Amino acid sequence: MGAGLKIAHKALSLKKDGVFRLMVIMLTLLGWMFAMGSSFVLGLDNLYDKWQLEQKSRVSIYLLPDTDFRKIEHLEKTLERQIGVVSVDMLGQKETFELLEPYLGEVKSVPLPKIIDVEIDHRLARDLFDRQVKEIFPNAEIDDAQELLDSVSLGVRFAQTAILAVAIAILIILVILTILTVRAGIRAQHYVLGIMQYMGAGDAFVARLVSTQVIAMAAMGYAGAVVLSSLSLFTIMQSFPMAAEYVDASLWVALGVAPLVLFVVAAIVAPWATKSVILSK
Amino acid sequence: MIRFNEVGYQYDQSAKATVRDLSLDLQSGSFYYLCGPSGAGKTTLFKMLYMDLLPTRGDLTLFGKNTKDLTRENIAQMRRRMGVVFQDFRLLKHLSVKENVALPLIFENKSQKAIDASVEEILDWVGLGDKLLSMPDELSGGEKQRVAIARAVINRPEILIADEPTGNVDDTMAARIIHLFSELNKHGTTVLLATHDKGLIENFPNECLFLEDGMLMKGQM
Repeated sequence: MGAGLKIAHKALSLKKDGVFRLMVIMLTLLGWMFAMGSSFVLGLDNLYDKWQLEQKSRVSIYLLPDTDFRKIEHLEKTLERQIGVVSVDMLGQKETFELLEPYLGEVKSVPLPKIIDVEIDHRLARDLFDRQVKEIFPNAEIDDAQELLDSVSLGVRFAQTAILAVAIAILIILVILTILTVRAGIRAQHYVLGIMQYMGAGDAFVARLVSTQVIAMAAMGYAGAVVLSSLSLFTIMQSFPMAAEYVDASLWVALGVAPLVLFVVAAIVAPWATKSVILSK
Repeated sequence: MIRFNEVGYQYDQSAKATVRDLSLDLQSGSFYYLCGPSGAGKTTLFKMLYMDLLPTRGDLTLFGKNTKDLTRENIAQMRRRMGVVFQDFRLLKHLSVKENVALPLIFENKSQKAIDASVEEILDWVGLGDKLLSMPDELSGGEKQRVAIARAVINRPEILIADEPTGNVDDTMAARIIHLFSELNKHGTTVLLATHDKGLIENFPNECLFLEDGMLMKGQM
C-alpha cells in the first residue's frame, strides 16, 4: 500500500468504531461455526460410508431351529462356490443367543434359530444368491440390513440438511452483519467523509477505502476461525479417540476452506454496502 | 466559468426560498467578495457552488456544465478543480498538518514524491513549513486556517471558495490570509470569498456581491 493510501486509510479509519472491531470477533465465531458444521457434515459422511460398507458386506440367513445340519453344510458349500462370497459361518448357540437376547425378554428357553453369517463383496449376484438359498431352504429368511441402511441414510441426510440450513443462516447473518458494520462505521465517520468528499474523493475511492478495511478485518476473522476450529477438532480427537477414525485430510481442508467462504462473502458485500450507504446520504 | 441563471433554492416546499432568482456570471480569474447579513443565503449559495446542494430552480453552470446533469463521479471530478475553505477550518484532527494538506492530491492519485514536494512547497508558502508534523490541535486559529487554505489550493484549483475564512482569526492574520488569496488570484485562480468584515473589503478592494434575503444586490455593502 502506498503512503498516500495509508494516509487516506488513516483519515477514514473505521477501526475507531466499536461495531467494526466487533466484526472480527463475530467473523471468528461465525467462521468457527461454519467450519465445525462443515467438518461435522464430512465426518458424518465418513462415518456413514464406513458403516454402510460394513453393513453392506454382510448377509444373514435365518433357518428354523430344527434344520438338518447336513443340509446346512450343503448350503454352506453351495454358497462358498459363488463369486462374491468371501466367507460363510454358522453362528454358535452362544453367539445366536447374544444376538437375539434383546428380543427374547424374560424367555430364556426358547429354541433358537440357526443363523448363517455370510461375508460378501461387490461382485455378488444377489438374485442368484437368494435363489440358491431358497432352493435348499424355501422357508429361510435372508436379511441384508438394507432397510436399516435406508433409515440411517435418511437420518444422515436430515442431519446434513439441518446443518446446511444453519450454514445458510450463518451466511445471511454475515451479510447483515457486514452491511450493519459498514453502515455504522461510515455513519460514525460522517464528518470525515463529508470533508473528504468536498476535497474530491469519489464514491469508488471511498468504497475502496472501506472495503479494504472490511477485507482486512475479515481476513483476521478468517485466521481466527481457522485457528479456533483446528484447536476444537484437535481437542475432540484427543477427548474421543473413536472420532479420530472419521477425521481424514478432507476434513482438515474443510476447516480451512469453509471460513474462507465467509471471508469472500464479506469481501463482496462490503463495497456494495459502502456504495449504498454513500448514495443514501 | 460560473453562471447562475435564475437560480433558486428552497429547503422545504412550504418554506420561503433561501436563494431567489439569482442570475450572475463569475468571470475566470476574478476576485469577488460575497457579502450580506446572516441568513441572506450566502452559505446556501456556496453549498450550490460546491455541489452539496443542487438548485431547486434555474440552472447553475460550472466549467461549462449544468450541475443538474452531473453524476456523482462528475461532481467529485469537478470538486477536484475547486478549493473550499471553511470558517471552522474542517481539518481532520487525527491527521498531521502534512497529511491533511496531502489529501486532495491522494484523491488525484498523485505519486508520493509529487505529494511530498507539493505539500512542503505549499506549507512554506503559507508560512507553516516548520509545522509539517504538528497536529491540528497544536495550532493557533490562524495557523489552522492557513493549513485549510494550503489544503484547498494544493491541487491548484481554478476556483477558490472561502466561507468567512477570516472569521476566527485576528486582523493581522486576516490581512495575511487575504494576501494569500490575492496572490493566488494573480496566478489566475478565481476567488469567491464570503465575509462580514467591512474593513477587510475597504482595505483590499475587489468586486462585492451583496446578498440580501436570498437576492443579489450587486455592488452594495
